[in-house]
Amino acid sequence: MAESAAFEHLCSLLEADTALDRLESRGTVRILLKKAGLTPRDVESKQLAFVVGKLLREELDARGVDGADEICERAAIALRMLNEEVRDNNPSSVFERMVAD
Amino acid sequence: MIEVLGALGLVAFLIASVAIGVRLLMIGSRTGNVPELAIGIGFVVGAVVGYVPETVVLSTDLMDPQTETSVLAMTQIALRGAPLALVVFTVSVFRPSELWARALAVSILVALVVSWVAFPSTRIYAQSDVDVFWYDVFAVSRSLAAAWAAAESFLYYKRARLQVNLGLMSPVLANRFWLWGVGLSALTALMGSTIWAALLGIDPAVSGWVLLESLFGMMGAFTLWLTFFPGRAYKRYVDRKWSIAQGGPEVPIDG
Repeated sequence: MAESAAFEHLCSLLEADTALDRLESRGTVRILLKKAGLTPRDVESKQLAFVVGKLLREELDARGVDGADEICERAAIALRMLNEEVRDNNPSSVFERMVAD
Repeated sequence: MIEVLGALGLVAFLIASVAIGVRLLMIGSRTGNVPELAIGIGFVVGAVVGYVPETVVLSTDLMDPQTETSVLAMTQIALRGAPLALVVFTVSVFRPSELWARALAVSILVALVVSWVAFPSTRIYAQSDVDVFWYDVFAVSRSLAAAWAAAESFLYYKRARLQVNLGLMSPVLANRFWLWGVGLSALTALMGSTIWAALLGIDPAVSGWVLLESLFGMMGAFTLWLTFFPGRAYKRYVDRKWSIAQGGPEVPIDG
């Protein structure tokens, strides 16, 4: 199963900006997504930027990462700038557009 | 009186199916999106080409036996098309890249097609145990399609609640997954009712069973209607309920 571009992007950022290795970075982001009710496959950059702002700091603190605030800020900005291809038929967008307002 | 009450649920489900199906077909034909087209086709074909003519054949003497057989064979195709459309929706929305989901979808397709080839009619026309077996294969397959769709929706609802807690999704949108799951659970019960009656040794024509089926029909019609036509009052209710649960102020309506 292929993960989304936003997921891969955040994992790479964490790997580059912290002492976390590839496995730890990916694990951290997976935990983050699980807490937010999102999946690595479907998460979009805008959603992930929002989640980073809300939850990443706590996860980085728990792993003893220094400069968590700056890392979160940089990650959120980088995610907002990411121009990825978004899946049209993810559950939220399908159930949003099928309903009469 | 029992007949009227029994028919109420099925008529309600029929009306809801046609309204939802037509709406989604209109959206789907405009956008070309597979999920809307699949559900639209499934609801309209299942109700108009499947359920209505089957009911006419089974409840009236308007057709001669030969026409009845042909009409029933056609309705059985339509009644298989509806769960297939539901499977297409489930896979394309919830499991687009999982191999097991495709394998399950193909298995349901094969079961539906083979059961039609073996016995293209309804249970009360079965003349042997083999006919009954193939009808039951059909009934189980279509129930499985609806149950799978309901399960996926409930699973997603669990995640949607977390998204609402964070402010990523509106309570109204999250609630739609719950409604869709409940509606399809009722449909699952309705589709599998003949099997349950047979397993429990109950005549499906007895009033209690007819009323139970009617109840499933009404429950399905009500929740599926709310899924696609929630109305402002219901949206306000969901938002207020969520807000009270969070102990905070009312959230804006954006679903």
